[in-house]
This record gives sequence, C-alpha cells and structure tokens, in this order.
Amino acid sequence: MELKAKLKEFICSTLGVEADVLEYDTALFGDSPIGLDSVDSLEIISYVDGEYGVDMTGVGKEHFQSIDTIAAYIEANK
Amino acid sequence: MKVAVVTGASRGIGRACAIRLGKEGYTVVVNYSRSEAEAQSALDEIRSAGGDGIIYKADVSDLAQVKQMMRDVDKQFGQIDLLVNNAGIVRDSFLLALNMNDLDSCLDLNVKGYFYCAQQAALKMFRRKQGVIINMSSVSGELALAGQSVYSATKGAVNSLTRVLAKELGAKGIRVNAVAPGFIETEMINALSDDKKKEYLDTIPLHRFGRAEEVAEVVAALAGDGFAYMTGQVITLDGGIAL
Repeated sequence: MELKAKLKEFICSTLGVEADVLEYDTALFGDSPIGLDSVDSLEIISYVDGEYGVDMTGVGKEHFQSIDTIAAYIEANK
Repeated sequence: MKVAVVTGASRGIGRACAIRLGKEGYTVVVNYSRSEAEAQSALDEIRSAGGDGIIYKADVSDLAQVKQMMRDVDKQFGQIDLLVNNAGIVRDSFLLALNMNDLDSCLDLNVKGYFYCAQQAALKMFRRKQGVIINMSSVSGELALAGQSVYSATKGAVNSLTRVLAKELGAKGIRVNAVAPGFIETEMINALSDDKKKEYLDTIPLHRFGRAEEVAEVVAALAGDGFAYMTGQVITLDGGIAL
C-alpha cells in the first residue's frame, strides 16, 4: 500500500477519524474538522517510528499538518 | 522475555540493578560510558546467574547516542520493557566556588540524559502500550545539604520529571516511578575518611549505610506486576535520614 494511504488508514483506525472527511491535504490539528490533539500526535510519532524507522520526536508542528506533510517528512528522512 | 535497559550499569547502584534484573529473568542491556571491563564483568555475573544481556557503550548525555542505543536494542530484541535511568555524576561545591563546567556536566547527564533516555525508551514502549521507567533519584532531591546545590537541583528535577511523565504516559500503559537512596556503600562512600563516615552514620537512624543490592531490590519490585498500580511516586530508601 502506498505511504499516504497507509497513514490515512492508521489515522482512521487508531484515532477514530472518518475516512470520507480525510483527504491527504486536510488539516489534522487545531481548528480543523478533524481536530486531533497533541496526545494524538504521540500516536503518530510512535506509528511512524515503528513502521518506517523514522524518528519524529521533537519535530516541528508544521510536519504534522496533514498526511501530505507527514509523508513528505518520512520520505525525506527514511 | 522482558528487556531492561540500565544506564550507568558498570558500577555501583546501576550494576546492582542490572544484576538483580538479570536474575529476575530480564534480558539486560548494561549501558556504560567508559568502563567496558566493568560492564563486561557485570554481564558475566548476570550470565553466571542464568540471565543474559549485552553491554552497550553510549554516553547518555548525547541524544544521538541515546537514539542509536534505543533503536539498536529495539531492533535486536524487538521491545523495551523497562528503563532504569541511573547514570549520573556528583560534583559537590559551594556556590561561590562552583565551576560552571561542572554545572553543565551535571545538568547534561543527570537531567538531560534522563529526558533523552525516557523519551527514546517511551517511544518504543508506546507502540506496545506497556512499559516501566524507573528514575534513580536521591534523598538530596528533597534534603538540603550544604555544598550539594547542583546535585540536589538535578535530583529535584528528576522527582518532578517522574511525576509529570507518570501523568503523561499513564494512559498509554507506561508507569514511571523513582527511587531515592540515601548513603549507599559505593566507591564514593568507601573513599571517605573514618571521621566523615562516622559523621554521616550519626545522621542515619538505622546507623548503617545502605547497600546497592538493597536499592536494586526496590527497583526490581517496582518494575514488577506487584506494583502495577503505582506510578508517579518517589520511593525513599535512606535508613531514615529524611525523617
């Protein structure tokens, strides 16, 4: 499965987001309809570390904005 | 098989913890920074008691080395169940004589090193939603001993870190506690003059120094299921000094 599709599947299955409202460029945090919080970001950090061996601890918020930005960070740091 | 990482495990309390945990059945990562022969001897003792593990050289005040160590351990063993954050140094000095390089060294190892190891171990524990972190504190984290401002401040930080991490990580199945020993028979105490030893002994209601093995006993107990409901606590083990 493609990287972005896997990230989407993880976010939907683990963080309870409905798949039909989540596009790859949808804002994940803050005032967005998705509304993930900082605790949810820990799940993403753990998933990315375990699945791709990419460490996102201490990484800036801008990399967590959307599935697109997370995927870009993974691709750049694999 | 459970996997324990013990930092600063080549000597003293860390060594005793590593050996005790090895006897408990943990696969033990004996972390050391300089004393390879002593780390190997600790591992030999673990193996002779029927346990197993590896030695791993890493300066835990260096985040890159900590990341590499936790990554390697996770890769080799597939999990990290227990972190004993123990590596630390003492640089006693009165404030006006304080050397700022000593201050930096203490903060780097005793505080930042604890953060680095906790973060990287928790990252691995997070995946399985289980794990235990035990921070080695000291009675100096609460008691005011003249000349120990730096060490006391670092251990006070460890106590605060323990409580906050317990709150942050509790919902993810990770428990965080600390052990705060008093005077323990280590190289530091053995190097004291008889007069100084007596002076210290007179402050201890049980009138003896503790043994590193006694600290390890508490660490092993805290790591076990018998204390599965305890988190965010600092357990004092000081023969009554703090009373």
